[in-house]
Amino acid sequence: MSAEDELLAVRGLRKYHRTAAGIVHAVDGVDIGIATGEVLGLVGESGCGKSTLGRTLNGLDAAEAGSIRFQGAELVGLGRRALRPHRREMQMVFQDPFGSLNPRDSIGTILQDPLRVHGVGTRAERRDMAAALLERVGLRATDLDRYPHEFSGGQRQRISIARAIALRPRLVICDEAVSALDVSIQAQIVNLLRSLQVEFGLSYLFISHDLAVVGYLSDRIAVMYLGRIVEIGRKGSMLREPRHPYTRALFSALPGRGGSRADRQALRGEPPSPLNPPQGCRFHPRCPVAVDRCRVDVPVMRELAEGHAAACHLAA
Amino acid sequence: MRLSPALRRFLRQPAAVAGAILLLLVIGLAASADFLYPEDPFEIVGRPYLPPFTGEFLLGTDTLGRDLAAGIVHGARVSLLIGALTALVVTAIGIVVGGAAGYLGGRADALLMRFTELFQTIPSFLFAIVLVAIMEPSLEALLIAIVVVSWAPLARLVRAEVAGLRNRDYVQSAIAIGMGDASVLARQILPNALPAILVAASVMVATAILFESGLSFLGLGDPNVMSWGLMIGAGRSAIRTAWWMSGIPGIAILLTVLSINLVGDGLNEALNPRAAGRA
Repeated sequence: MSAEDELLAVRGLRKYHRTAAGIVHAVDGVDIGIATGEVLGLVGESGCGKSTLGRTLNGLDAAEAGSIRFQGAELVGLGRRALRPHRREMQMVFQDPFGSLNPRDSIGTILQDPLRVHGVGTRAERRDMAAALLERVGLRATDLDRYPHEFSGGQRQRISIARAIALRPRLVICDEAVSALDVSIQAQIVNLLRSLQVEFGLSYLFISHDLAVVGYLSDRIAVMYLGRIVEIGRKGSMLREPRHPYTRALFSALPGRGGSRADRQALRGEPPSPLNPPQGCRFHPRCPVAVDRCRVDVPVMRELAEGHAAACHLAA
Repeated sequence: MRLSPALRRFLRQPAAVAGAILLLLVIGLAASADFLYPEDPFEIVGRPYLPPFTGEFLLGTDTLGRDLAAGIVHGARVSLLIGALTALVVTAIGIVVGGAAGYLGGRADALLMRFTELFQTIPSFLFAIVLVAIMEPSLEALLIAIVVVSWAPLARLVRAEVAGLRNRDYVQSAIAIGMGDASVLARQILPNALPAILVAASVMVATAILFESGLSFLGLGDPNVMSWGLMIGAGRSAIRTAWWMSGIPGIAILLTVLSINLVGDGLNEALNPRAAGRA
């Protein structure tokens, strides 16, 4: 990926949560990049820091350290006001279709809010734009005057997506955007996301624990474990030849992949607490192939094939 | 259009409707006080110690021969005025302090809540007595004292509501869109916290009426304004021979506070769908 078509470049990003029990290393040194028009899938178990990463990129959580360059501009350290013009270009879709729409606002208000905040168009123009957005995501313009409780989960997620693309952003962060939906509805929403991506040249950071959905939508896939990216690469090479033992275990759970039953690797135990991550490689307590070195040395990302890197001492 | 189902839920509750009718009656009496009893309720109009429902005075007379009915009707004004103003001011303070604490979180929250707790640790009635004693006895002094001792619980309630709503995805979406803090608070959070605030404010009206009565009973109210507490205080010495002098204003307080609490409960049921047993 050349520097000029890189939309988002994240280096050494850290975000800790200070809790009563101690410091949670939610995002602990993450490097990722997303090119214009690219879909990067981000997978990992619950609690690995995927959502925090998404929120930190969007500025909903303030980064502890590191750099987020978006369209060439540094976002880390910017205040709310300075962040506003960048937010226009980077939007979010949340998981819960029942929590992401204000129950007291009409759909028209919800869709016009982003336009109003950024001073786009006149009142009448904004209403027309909201109607067009609604139709684009598969609802009717007459739904503008209805309220969120009148819609199903899938319809609400369509509305959330319409709100996210209202300002014609470059990047949309989808945080488990289809995880709460029925499988049949999931497919519709995934197809909607894909067609919007093509139409508007969007980039997605698609955060999910659902490998099948990520595999369908993504150009590249990044795997996160306990606050760090452990492997990243193009979808084909990731699915064909996962290098990191964690990725292998994760992907072997996919039906129709990984050959015989005996090849499947079940992960042992729960992920360790991010309050007190293991020394050395964070995966070593659960790793089937760990050696002494893994308990001491922190593995760095190494490029093992073109555009495919993993953080494992043993991977080749 | 969102109000009508809430109104329907309110009207479905007989107790709430009864409370509302009673409250409207009290408000009606207070509003027509000058029309029903144009003369000063402090005026001596007849023989003292006249029992109620016997002669020309509906509710009898007190130890000085003042018309109790005139006192009740004029006293209703004071009670309702103090109750409504207190609820209004307390809600405003609660929204500002609780809203800021709940929305900003962190250090601002800790600081504001410790300040709020300071007010909650002092026994409120004693604190009110001290405050009124420091100031000139007047309606304003009563109002200030009652507000100072009763704003804290409402601020805490608003804070809890706001802090809970702040993490909702629709609030996060509004922030992600780039909406300013004031707009997020006013347009996304407060409208959703309003039902809880409204219910608490309605109960606040009743509490304030009780405070006013208590302070006036002790002689700490405005001596030139007829109020129910003042009437009970004045009739206290004759309670064994003439129960009605303190009994009737007592019943007036009881019914008014009861009606407001019934309305408050009804509002809670109507505005809080979860409490009403819905999804």
